[in-house]
Amino acid sequence: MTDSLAKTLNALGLLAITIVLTFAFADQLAKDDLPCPLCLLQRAGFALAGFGLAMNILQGQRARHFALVILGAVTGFMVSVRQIFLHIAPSSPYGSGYGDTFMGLHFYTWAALLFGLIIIGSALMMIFDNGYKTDGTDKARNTVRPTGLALFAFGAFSLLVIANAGSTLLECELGLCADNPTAYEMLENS
Amino acid sequence: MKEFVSLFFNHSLDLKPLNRYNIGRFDLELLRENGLMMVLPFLLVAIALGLVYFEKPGAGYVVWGGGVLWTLWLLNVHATDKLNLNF
Repeated sequence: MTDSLAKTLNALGLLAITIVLTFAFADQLAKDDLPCPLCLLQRAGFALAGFGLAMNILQGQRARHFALVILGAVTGFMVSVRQIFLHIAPSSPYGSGYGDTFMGLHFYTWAALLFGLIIIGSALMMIFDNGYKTDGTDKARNTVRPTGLALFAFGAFSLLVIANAGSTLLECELGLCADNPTAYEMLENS
Repeated sequence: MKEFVSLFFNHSLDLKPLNRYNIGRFDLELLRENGLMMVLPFLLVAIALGLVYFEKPGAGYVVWGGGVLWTLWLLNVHATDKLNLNF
């Protein structure tokens, strides 16, 4: 895999995560559908996974950065699978599923699938990257500052993470969120 | 424990919805919640991104690690909370 292809793939991966976060954020704002605690933790999982790709963009592609991606994705995957298990029982007192659906699947189910894809994608990137075997180290190969698509992906991702921090602060203040939130706590209490 | 604390604070410690507390007064629940900030994972990732952007990747790793641990801690709290959270 060439350096430029690796950089493009990392930028596209980060952009994909940014689109997922944007979609969740748009649903929150457009439908006034406040994210539940587990939903927020899944967003945090995407942010944690995206950080590894941002490291690839800023510091050059390294195996350890993909390790961060996988660790973040596994964290998010655990959260989304917990939410699937909570709502998978047909006799659940909360009805079948929670929240909105997209193409027939609930958001947390999509999240679990996407976290799985992120893990598989990271593994494939490491399989097809021959940069780690040149001298036995995982030396960075493309440490130049990001430009173009990579810079856009990094900027958009950073903005989304900051926006999520602000939104979570508004919704939950400095504590846990309500189980099934209906209002922004900070705005209610002010 | 509840009875003991009730001697000093004029309110019940019965479990109540987690989002109901008043900023500005001493409250054991508030104290507990301040250790459970849901905003922290996002905040830590944002700080880590800033650190990496300004050429401090080592510190970025550490802060990011804090974000992962905090997320896992929050998941543990959610899964074991006495309020039996479902969402």
